[in-house]
Amino acid sequence: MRRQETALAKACLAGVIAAVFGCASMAVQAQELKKYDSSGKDFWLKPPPDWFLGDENKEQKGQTPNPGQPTPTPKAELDKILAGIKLPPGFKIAVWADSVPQARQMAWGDKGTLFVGTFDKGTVHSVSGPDGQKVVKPFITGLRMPTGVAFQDGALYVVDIDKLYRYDNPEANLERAPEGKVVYDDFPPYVPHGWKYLVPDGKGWFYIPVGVPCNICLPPASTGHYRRVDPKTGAAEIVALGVRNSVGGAVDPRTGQLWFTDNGRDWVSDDLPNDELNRVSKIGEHFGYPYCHQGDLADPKYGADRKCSEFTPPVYKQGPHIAGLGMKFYTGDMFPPEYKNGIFIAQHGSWNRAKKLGYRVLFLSVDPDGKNPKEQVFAGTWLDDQKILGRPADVLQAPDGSLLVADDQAGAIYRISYQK
Amino acid sequence: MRSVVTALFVMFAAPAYAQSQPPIKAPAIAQTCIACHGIRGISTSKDSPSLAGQPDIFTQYQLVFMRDGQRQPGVMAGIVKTLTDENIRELGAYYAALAPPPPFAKAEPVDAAKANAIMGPRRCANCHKDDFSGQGETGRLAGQRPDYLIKALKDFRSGARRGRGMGAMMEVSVTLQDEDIALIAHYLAAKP
Repeated sequence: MRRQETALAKACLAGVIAAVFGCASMAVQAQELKKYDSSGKDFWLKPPPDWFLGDENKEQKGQTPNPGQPTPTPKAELDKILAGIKLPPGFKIAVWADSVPQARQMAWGDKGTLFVGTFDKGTVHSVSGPDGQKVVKPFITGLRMPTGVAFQDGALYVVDIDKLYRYDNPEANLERAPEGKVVYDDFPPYVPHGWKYLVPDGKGWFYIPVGVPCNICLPPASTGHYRRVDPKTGAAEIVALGVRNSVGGAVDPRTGQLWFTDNGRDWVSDDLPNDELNRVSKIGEHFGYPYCHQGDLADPKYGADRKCSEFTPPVYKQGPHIAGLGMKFYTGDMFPPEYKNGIFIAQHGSWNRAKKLGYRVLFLSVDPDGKNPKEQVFAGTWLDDQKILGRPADVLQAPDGSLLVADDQAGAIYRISYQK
Repeated sequence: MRSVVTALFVMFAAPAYAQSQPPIKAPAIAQTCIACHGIRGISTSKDSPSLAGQPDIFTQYQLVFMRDGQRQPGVMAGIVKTLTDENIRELGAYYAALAPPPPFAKAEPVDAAKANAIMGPRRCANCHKDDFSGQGETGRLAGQRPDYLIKALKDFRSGARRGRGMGAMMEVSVTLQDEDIALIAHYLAAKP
């Protein structure tokens, strides 16, 4: 409770809430709360006049999501950037493939093709070629936001905003993608935070996040959670609630449990709330959104009549606005033994704070029950002071135990290897 | 590649551009755009946006999305298909350097307070800036043709407009009525 009060005091100092509610009397909030019941259609057709107001203070004005780059960074420049990336002793980073625009989630085909999703480019790329060449081709085009890809039982799965597609035997003809088959379409149509990630559960199903279509709102009923989908039958079930915008997750090889990254709300302050790393220990667990953030920060609008203690706190607070996206447990043999079963997280980097944070790959060793998280900035940073040089969006272990990093700003894939 | 492009500038740059102060060299490919987007990027064609003064990155993204088929640009589809990354970077820089359009002469007068009541809560200025000149991936709205602004907003609202910004723009436009859209379009068109 002490921590929660401190956190709230900090939020108030930032001046965000003070303008709207006044921080002295949190009781007032409880009465105001009714106005923000966004679960009905009327709310969205006629939002209350201050619905969006109070979401920024003077210091935060003009902060916008990073514009990124429309075209990929040329190879020669990538080499220069990577020369400045710091890694632990013995590790090396090199360009694995360049000119992979908007590289997001990656997946290995059985025959060694790398499939790479994109953000709003609508394309899934293939990267392959004889003798280890890295020929990059737009394999599937014309989707909306196919950020999530996975390879399972000889088929490529791609998740777009509202559909999960299966492409059979894709490596048989990389010149032209086979017709995609919709295997699941019971997703809401919302584009905001509608981009997804695919986490194979190891038993043939996928864990799939469904983000909320807002920064902060009472989520429409079909959003704000993780669900588990069986691509064979189209069956689905909710596995985790109170999720805002997760674009990364993985199953712990030690326990089979789902872990996932989740991006916290914007416009509270530079330093609040932290983005989360969560562990699902039982079906239907609630992780707090929109009532409670980072396990101990009541939301200024929705937190008044709920307690943080009702919800599962994160295993690890990643940092404010740091945007941890793709994550994987490391199971390879190339890296030193202390990396085994630890987590690599691609921290895409902040926009909703004055000083940039993230733009790196984080390593976290943590017990199977979520205890004793120990962090290490593994690779970074893709920043030159405040200039963005790249944005890690996903990580993937290669068959040889090295680690690939997808960069959706520079449009490149890097390989991190280790040699004693 | 760079030297070839420079040579093309010298060979094909229209005299009008060469005389501007400071001189803005039009990439050869920009000749193709004039028919719909106007001389110096100021459109006189209905539903066809002015490009002059648009942020460099904004123009580049739109071209990339049209080339990829994310945006369906109608008659432009054939033209954008052949653009190289280099062409796209040149066009982005070129239109960003041109003087933005003056306030749209035929914009209908609107109640500024009403426009602000719609746009304020949606934080339009946060990305498009207080003077609506745009920045980064966010387009310039000031002085844009109102018919085009109406089309763009309706396309965002319906989800037809794909590509950059579709998430944020859908979030703010989904609650807009047709008359709201017309009102803010004319308000923005009249902005200097």
